[in-house]
Amino acid sequence: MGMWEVLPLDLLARVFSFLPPDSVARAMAACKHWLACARSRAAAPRHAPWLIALPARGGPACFAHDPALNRWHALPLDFLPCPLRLVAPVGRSLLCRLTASSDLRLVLLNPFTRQFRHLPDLATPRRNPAVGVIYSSPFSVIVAGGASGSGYEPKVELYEDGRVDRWESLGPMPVEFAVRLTVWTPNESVHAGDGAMYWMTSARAYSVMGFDLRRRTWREVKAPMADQLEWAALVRRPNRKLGLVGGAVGGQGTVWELTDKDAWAAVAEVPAKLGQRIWGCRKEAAGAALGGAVRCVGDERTVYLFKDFGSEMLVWEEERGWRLMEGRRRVSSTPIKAALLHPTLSVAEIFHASM
Amino acid sequence: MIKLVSGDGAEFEVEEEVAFQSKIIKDIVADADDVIPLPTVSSKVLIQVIEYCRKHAAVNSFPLSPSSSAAAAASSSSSISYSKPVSDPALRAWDNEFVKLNNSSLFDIVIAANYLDIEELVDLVLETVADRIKGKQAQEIRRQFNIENDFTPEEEEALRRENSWAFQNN
Repeated sequence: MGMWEVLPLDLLARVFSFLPPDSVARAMAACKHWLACARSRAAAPRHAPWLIALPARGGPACFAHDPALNRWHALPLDFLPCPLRLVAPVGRSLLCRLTASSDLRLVLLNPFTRQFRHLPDLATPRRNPAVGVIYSSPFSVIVAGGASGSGYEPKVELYEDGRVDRWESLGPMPVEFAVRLTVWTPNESVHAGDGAMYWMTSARAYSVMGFDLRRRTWREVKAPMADQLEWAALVRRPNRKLGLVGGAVGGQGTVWELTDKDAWAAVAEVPAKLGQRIWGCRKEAAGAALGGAVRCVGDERTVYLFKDFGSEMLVWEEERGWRLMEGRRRVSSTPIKAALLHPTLSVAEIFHASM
Repeated sequence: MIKLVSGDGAEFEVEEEVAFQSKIIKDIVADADDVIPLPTVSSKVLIQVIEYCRKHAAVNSFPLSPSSSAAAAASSSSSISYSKPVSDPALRAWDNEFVKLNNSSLFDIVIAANYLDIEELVDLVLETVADRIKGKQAQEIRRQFNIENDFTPEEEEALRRENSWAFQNN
């Protein structure tokens, strides 16, 4: 017999595409053929993305939440030579920066395969620029603004993976945008279908900065309910539209989508009772000083809202609506940075370029 | 009617819409005659595959149309398009009964379905296999699928260490 161990690789990869990564990790220990398949093939996943949380100031492990089983896993980061801070997901890996360096230094990380890879240094070194990810295959990263010495760096740079291993200048940018992107940007970017990269800034009222990659022009899009929002974040919406999730005191929260006419259309409302569980009903409770700010991560189909890692999380899926999920109780409430990711155990993904 | 001939020489007459569940047969019929030899498929397996196609042809009432696969591709954000999940609950229940087979029979069916290019059947069998793997330890998977362990104890231990998070039940 012994046929399953010679199942063609493409069929075996499809079996694995039905499995969550922990089951793949055990299945690939069955025999060498299965191991080779799991390592070399990253079949498109058929399950919901996992929430991956890295301690904001570095730590011995990161945490991954399996939404199907509502289970947390701790993935050791002991293989990293230096602490990293999560910037954004890139496909099925994470874009991080070195916490020890004040100038931006980027690293790709897959905590599931225990791989990491340094990206080259920027042509113009700088602190705290806005970072935007264009995920196609191969991926690209855009960096805009930032500070160096005593001033701002009103310059844009592009890194295209798999081409030349250096950053390319995309020219100057308006100083006003550079300033706002440097000081007030949480680095959640969305590359939308209109060919622009968007970042949220939170100077005074929230607003959205857009960079048209083709024309290399900048514009500002006013956020909906901008003066009332206590927290807000950008998410990708289906058909590569730009989405914005934001909330005000009293548990009020909304998912919006940017229309072609630059207006925001509400797509979903947070049920007030659930919102109050996460960000409270009193003015003081919503402030960043008390209990921490509300964090939001999402992709086209899923949005997670939470304050910290030890308490409840509110999850929205377009098809299933809103639901509460337990946080990781046994961990103290350390600040975290999180992203949604379809985990892969394939070492081929993303790391091929400079290996 | 189309005549399918199995590897062991048995002949099966099936309606077009049943045979056309297989994209490869559809392509062959388009530019050849109506007798199709399938030398790598045994009659035992062919009977099972025809049973599946007959049921799905009746429920779908139309053969695999380009529009259904286009819709599946559009609804998926990935570049790889999978077959559309079966949405009819009665058909889904029938499918679940159909795959109540041992792993050796499932293997023969998936190889035949892949050869005949019947996407839905391939996915049905592979998802069933995945369900039988899910949550199990490597040793149990080997036993169920009759897989020989070709790792040294050291290699196995290294793999377990590398993915220690997946082997814990926290």
